[in-house]
Amino acid sequence: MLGRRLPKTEFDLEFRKKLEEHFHEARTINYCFQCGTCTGCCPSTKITGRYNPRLLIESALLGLTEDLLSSPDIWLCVACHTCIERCPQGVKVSEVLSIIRNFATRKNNVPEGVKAIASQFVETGFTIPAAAAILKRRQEMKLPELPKPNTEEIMKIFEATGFLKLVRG
Amino acid sequence: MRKYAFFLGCTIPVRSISYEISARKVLEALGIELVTLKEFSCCGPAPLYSLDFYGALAISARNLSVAAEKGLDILTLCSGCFETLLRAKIELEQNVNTRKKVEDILNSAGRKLSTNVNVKHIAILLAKDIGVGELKKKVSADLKDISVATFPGCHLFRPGRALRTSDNPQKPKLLDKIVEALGAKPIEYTGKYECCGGTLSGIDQELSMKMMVEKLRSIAEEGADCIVTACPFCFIQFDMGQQAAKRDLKENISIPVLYLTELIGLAFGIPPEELGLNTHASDVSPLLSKISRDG
Repeated sequence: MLGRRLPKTEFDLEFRKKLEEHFHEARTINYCFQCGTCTGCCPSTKITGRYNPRLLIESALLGLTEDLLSSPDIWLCVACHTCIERCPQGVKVSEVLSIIRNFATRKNNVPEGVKAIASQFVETGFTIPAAAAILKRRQEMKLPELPKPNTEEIMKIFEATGFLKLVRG
Repeated sequence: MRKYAFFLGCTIPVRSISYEISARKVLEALGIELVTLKEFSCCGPAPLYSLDFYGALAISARNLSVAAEKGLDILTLCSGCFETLLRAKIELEQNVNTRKKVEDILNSAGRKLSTNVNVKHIAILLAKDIGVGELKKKVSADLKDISVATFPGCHLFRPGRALRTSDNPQKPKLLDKIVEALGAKPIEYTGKYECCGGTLSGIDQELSMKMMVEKLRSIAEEGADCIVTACPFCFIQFDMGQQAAKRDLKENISIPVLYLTELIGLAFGIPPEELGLNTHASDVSPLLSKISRDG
């Protein structure tokens, strides 16, 4: 389990700064005093028995990036934001973890299910595009036509952020 | 007449159509006009923020801009769409650096950024803007024998500060207030204010199911007649999840699952088939037989 053993590599002491540079809310990580409230109130911890946001935040603070960014655990957050509500220090725990996952994505640590959603999205503008059968059913039910956004514009957005290249490999 | 840009998102029109059908019916009865904007895409969902924060934020911003261009406020049914769109609006209005970054991304795609638009979720529109008093006036069916386990979910209320939630974000009562106004009985149960597990369904199906089933058990223990939610992910977890739990976990619990707008529709005396109740995986007939239509 993450944090329970000595780190494999060096400490990236700049990592917390990199998080903050990526998105300003990540600066709240610096207020963490490791009380464990986030882990105590986490519904994912309760069910998985191994997901531990406190340890993930600790790893980020210490810059144990090789362990942290390759950990499958960072994907077990359910984004219910209960930790944000309860943190006595105002750490935006689930937000910080989302930013950490941006860094993990660049190291290709992404679950297959999430990858599938992403490639669907950049091509169509939807996570679940409507199949022909669905459109026919909607017509029969006399429901209005669904939106049809300009997919080129959407692709250009992901071209600008560099994500399109990452998805297409 | 109030008019909104109707933001359906991905999941509802494709996987959970009765939310759309019942919402259209109920809003029509309340004199709200809905407009479909062709350029809306998916909201820019939470998993996308995990992968590419600024790409996702630009997608949310693009949707805001599409509505702002038409001078229409956005109305969402999905709690996920509500959270991402509203938070995007607030972040882009509060932080100049973020705004500049996202503006540049949108400009490179040929779109002008505008956040001059409000984002509403249907539950908030009904309870706060229209008001429970107005809903009460339209009730014609008798729901007094119906115990309702509302499932508020996460994204309609949390993070409370970021969404400027007026309810208690850890114990929101919005859905209960609406249920009460309809004449039914909202109940408390263990796990009511927790996550349904929907977010994990694409990552770890077994854990996702476990999270749902623990709530299903406590709802059954309290003897609820139905589960009521205003989020498609919570709905799918409980409605389709019950069938999967029967098959895979030998968990033999059957509780009808309804969208908030479906319960409102029933209370207004709209026939169940016009609300799309025939599209559910869970059997709703035990609930329907307890509602007297002439009240």
